[in-house]
Amino acid sequence: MRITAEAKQKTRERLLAVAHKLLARRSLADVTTREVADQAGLAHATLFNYFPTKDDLALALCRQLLDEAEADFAARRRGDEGLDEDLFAHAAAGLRRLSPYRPWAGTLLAAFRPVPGAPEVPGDDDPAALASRHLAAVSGIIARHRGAAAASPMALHLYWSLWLGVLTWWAADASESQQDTLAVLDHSLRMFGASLDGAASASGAAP
Amino acid sequence: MTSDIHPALAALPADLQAPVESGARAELQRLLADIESRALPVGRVHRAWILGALQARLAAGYLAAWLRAGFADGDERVRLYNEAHLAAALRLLGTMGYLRGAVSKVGQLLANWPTLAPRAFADTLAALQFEAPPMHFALLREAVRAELGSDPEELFAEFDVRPFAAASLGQVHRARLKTGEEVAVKVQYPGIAGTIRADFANLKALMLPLRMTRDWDNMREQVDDIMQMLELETDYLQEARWQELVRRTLEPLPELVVPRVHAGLSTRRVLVTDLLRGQHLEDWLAGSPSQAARDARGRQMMAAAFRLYYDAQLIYSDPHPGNLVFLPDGRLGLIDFGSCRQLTPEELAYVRLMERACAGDEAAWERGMRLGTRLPEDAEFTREHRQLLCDFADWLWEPLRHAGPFDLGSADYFPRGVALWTSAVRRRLTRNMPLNTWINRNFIGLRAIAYRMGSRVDMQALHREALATSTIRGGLP
Repeated sequence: MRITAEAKQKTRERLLAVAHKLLARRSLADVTTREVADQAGLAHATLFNYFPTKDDLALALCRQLLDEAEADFAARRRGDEGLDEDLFAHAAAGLRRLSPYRPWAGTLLAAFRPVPGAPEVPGDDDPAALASRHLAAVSGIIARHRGAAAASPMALHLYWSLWLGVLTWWAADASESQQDTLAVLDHSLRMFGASLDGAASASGAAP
Repeated sequence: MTSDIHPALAALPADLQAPVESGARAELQRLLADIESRALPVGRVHRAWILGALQARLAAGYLAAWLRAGFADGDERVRLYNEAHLAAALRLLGTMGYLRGAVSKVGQLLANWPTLAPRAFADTLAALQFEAPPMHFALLREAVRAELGSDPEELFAEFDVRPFAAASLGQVHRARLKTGEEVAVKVQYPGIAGTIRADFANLKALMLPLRMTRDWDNMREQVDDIMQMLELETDYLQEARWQELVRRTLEPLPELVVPRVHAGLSTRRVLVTDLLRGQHLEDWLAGSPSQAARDARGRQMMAAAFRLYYDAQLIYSDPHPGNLVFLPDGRLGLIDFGSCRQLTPEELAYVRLMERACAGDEAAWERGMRLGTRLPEDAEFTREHRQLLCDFADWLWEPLRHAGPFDLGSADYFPRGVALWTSAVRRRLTRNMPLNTWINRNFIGLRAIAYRMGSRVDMQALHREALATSTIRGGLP
């Protein structure tokens, strides 16, 4: 019997829903792929047709959450934000969605260092795709405030480095309600905004 | 990161940047190198961000100019020596994460001491209290959510995304509760409490070369006390407790208003109180109020201080213009109670002793001065030191010894107190028990505001009235 694309998609979503539920309560190391497959009503081996490793499953979950965060960000925008505030709101929306999974999500995401600007393959769970989707959103924000030329590959590379640094900090942040992460994120993004303006004035472009 | 520090340092007067004594320079360089080499400490986060502010740079420069003026007529060698340490201290100030808080406080102090800072400086610095660079709303939203579990838009019926006032450790927004009341929401900068602790550790490291000096023990005691005070200011729940105590204490005085705290929406880093709509000092003065209005406001302010002291043993150590709201109906609003101190039984005993001393008890005077200046048992006051203390005490008591309205706005009275204080600093006669720092801030701060208002207040009568209802007897706030 052939499995339709729609049935595949539904199975994939079922697996992610189970992972969502289990990983919100327990650590990534503690949850097994067998458990996820069992609770989704699938044979263990079938899971690997969808997610070759547990990390791939976790990354797919992160991607789903970050997609939801993009919608949250868009819904919260007033329209009069500056670049710093827009970038902060965008990043904070992501951290909010990821926060139930903080013990592993920050470390997992920060461990991947895909090359920015790599072409996105729609539907692909590859870490590079995750990065490029995130950077596409950031690029849109920069373009809105400073023009498309400001969202250069170098600027996006700097942003991605800062974002990974924030994720690393966040994963290990012992401060109450991770308030230190807010300060680190704010500072990082102000620095990034200032570097964009510095680059613009150095090249003679309007900031 | 370094480049963020330099603009603030560059704002110092040029001749102040050169003569740094070599020991202090080496220590400073070691400290800066240490700070620069550390990975992502949150202190740096705030420091870099804070130092970008024009106001901070201005204030650092003005602070330097002001302190220099205090040494201007002293011995040249002493002046240079002091300047070397001052330059090092200012450079350290430039590396501190809580600079925004410190600068606000310096600004408030200078704005209150109009004879020390030129008028234009005082006006610029007065603006610091309300115009410091804000957190953008996206950061504030996350800070509120971290404390209260929901976004401001969910917690309040309306929330103004623009702050209307900058507090030393946070900022204040107007909002409307779902029940309709207008409120002020004070939100603290994330991580600032940890930053203050880290900065004081750095400050103590810088102070190490001074440990062989005669005043080291006292200096350390005072720094510890300041740290404790700043840490207390980071706890808005403590501030809420003070505010409620002040409100209850001042309830019998209908001319005074203290906003209610909304405890259900307040945490250690978020404080929600009723909103007072009125003017601050500069705007009020710009309307050229009558002498009667100036006198009435001065009387209200002093009555509040007497009551707090006699009925609650509370010292409100941050009386600057930003904490007063001049309401259109003639009442005076008091806000911001982060910097209060309630006397312990031991401190109360000390204050009682000083009251007896100031009333003429020679033995109490000797014992009180020794305690208050932390003078070792085997040391003697110099004649100069003794005279200065007597003069300062006389200055403090003068309005209370005067029958009828005392002109706190006279060209003579307040500047004389400033001169005495400046003289004590210049001669390095600054040994003090920490409580006195609080008391002096209260005394001098209140009189500075009254001086700016040009108020004539019957201090003796107010004192008598406060004593009549007091839970304690004797004394002077």
